[in-house]
Amino acid sequence: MTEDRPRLAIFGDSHYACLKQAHVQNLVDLSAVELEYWGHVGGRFRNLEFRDGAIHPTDDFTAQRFAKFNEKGRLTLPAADFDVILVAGARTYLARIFLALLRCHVHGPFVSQGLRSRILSDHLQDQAGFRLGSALAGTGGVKVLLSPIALYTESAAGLAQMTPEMTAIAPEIVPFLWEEVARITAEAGMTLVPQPPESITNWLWTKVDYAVADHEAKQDFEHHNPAYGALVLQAALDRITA
Amino acid sequence: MPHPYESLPEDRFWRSAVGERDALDITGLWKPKMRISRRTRIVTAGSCFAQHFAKALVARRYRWQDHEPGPPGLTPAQRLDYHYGTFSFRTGNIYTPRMLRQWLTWALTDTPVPPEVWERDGRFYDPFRPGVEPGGFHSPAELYASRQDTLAAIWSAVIGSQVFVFTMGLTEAWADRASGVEYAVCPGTIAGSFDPKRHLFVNHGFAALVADMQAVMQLLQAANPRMRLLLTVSPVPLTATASGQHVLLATSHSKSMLRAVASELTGTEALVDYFPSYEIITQPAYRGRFYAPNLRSVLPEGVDHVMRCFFQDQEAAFGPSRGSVVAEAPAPTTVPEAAEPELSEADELRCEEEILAAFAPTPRHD
Repeated sequence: MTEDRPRLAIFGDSHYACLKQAHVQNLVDLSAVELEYWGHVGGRFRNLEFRDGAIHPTDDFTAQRFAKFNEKGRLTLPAADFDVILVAGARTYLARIFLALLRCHVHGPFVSQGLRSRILSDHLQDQAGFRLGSALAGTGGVKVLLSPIALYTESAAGLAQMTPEMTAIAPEIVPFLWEEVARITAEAGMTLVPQPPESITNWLWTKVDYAVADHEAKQDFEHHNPAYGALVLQAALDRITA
Repeated sequence: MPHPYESLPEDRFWRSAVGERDALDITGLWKPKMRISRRTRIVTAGSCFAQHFAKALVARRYRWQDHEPGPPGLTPAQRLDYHYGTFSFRTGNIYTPRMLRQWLTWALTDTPVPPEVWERDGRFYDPFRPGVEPGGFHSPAELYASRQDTLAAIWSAVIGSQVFVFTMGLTEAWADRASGVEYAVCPGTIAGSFDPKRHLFVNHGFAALVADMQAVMQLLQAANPRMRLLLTVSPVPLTATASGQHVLLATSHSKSMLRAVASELTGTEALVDYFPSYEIITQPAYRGRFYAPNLRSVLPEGVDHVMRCFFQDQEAAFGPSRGSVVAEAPAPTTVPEAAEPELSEADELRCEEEILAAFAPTPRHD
C-alpha cells in the first residue's frame, strides 16, 4: 500500500545527481519508498538555514533553485514531511582530511586519537550538509542518513600523494577513520552511510569504474556515475528497510 | 674631588627616573646585552607569562620559532586546546629551572625520560606536561609517541635558534623522592595520585636554582655554542603554596629568589641577559595598574606595555630593527590544508551541469 511506504527525501548538492541517474535508469528498485529530491549546487548551501523544523533558503533565488527539481516544487525541506532524509554529498567532504591524517600517522607529526577525533569532528561540524542534517535529525521525527561526498576518483596525480608507507598502513588506519566518522555522525543524530567498499580502491580513492563520464577530459574527479549512485541508493535503502 | 654620584645619569636617581614621572614614562629599564632583531631566531619556554612573549613577537613579525606546530590545518581553537604554539614546543608550562634542565637533558642527551605515567578514569597523562592533551592520552604508548615529537622539537629548537627566552615562574615543586625527578604539577591534582611516601615537596633555594640554570646553559651551549639566554621572571603570583607560609609571603620568596638568580647569571654569564618584565608589572611605581582585580592575572595592557618597553629598549641600544618579514611563518594560518576550497565559477558550472543532466527529461529505462 502506497501509504505504508516510507517517505524518503534525498537532500544534496551536485553529488546527488548520480543517485537520480541511477533512479532514472532503474538501477535500483525504489518501489519500497516514496521519493523526492531536494538539492542544488554546493555553493548555494551557504544560503540555507535551519529553523522551525525545516531547511529554509535565505533568499528567493536559492529557494527557486532548490524547488526547481523537486517533485512538489518545495521551497523548503520540512523534517516532518518525511520518514527518512538522505543527505547525499551536501558539501560533506572526507577525502582530503583522511589523506592528511594518514600522512601524519606515517610521516608525522604525531596525532593522538583525541586530536584525530577533534579534527574530524570539527571538520564535519564545519560542513553545511552535516550541520543541516544534524538539525533535521534533532527534530526527532525523521531518520537522517548521511552519505558523504565520495572519495576522489583514482588518478595518477592522486596516487602520487600516497607514499609506500602510507599505502602499507592504510588498511589499518582508514577503517578507524571511517569508524570515527560513523561515531561522530551518530552523536550528531544521524546514521552514516559509508562509501560502499566495492567502489573504493587503494583505500582512499574511488574506482575509475564509477567516475563520471569523460572525467579526465573534464578533470572532474569528484562526481560519479549512475553505477555509483546505485550503490549509495541501495546502501541507504538497506538501512531504511532493515 | 667629585664623588661617583655627581656624574651619574638621570636614570640612576629615583626622583628623576621614577618619582617625578608617570609610570608609563619610565623608560630605559633595560640595557640589553644582546641585539634581538626581526632576523633573530627566538624560542620561548616557561610559565604562563612566557606565552605573551611569543604572541607579541609574532604580532611584530619577529622570528619566533614554533618547532612543534602540530598537524597542518589545525584551527586556532584546536591549537589552543591542545597546546600547540603556546611555546616553541609542546611542553606546556615549565615553571622551574629544574624542570627546564630536565626537558633539555632528555632532549639533548641520551638520558631517557622516566617511564612514569599518570592515570585518571582510564586515560593517561604525562607527569611532565599533564595539561597538553585534553582528556588524556588513549594509552601509555600514545603518550610516549607524542612526547617523542616534543623532545625532537626541543632539540631542533635549540639547534636552530639564536635566543632562548625563559620565563621563570616558581621555586616550589613536587618531586619523586627516589629519583629526584620533578613533576609539572603535584601528583593527584590533574591526574595520578598523591603518595606522601613517594612524593616530596621541594622549594628550591638560591644555590640549587643557580646550579640548575648553569646546567641549562651548559646543555644549551653544548648543543648550540652561539645560543643566548634571555631570562625573565613571571610577575604572576602563586596560585597556592605548600610551603607552610602565607601565599603572599611564599610569592615574595619565590619571586625574589628567581629575580636574584637572574641577576646572578646576568652578572656572571656573557650570554645571559635579563629583561625586567617582572619589575614593570610588580614595582610599586606602577601601582598595580597592570593587574586584574584578582591581583594575579596580568591585563593585556600590561603585556602591551612590557613588550613596548622591550622593543623600545632594543631600539635605544641598537637602533631600529631591520629585516624583512621572513618566510618561515611561525604558525599555520586558519585555512586548513585539508579543507575543501570554495567552489570556483567553473566548479559551480560543472556541478550545475551534473544536476541538469540528471534531472533532464529522458526516456525512461523501463
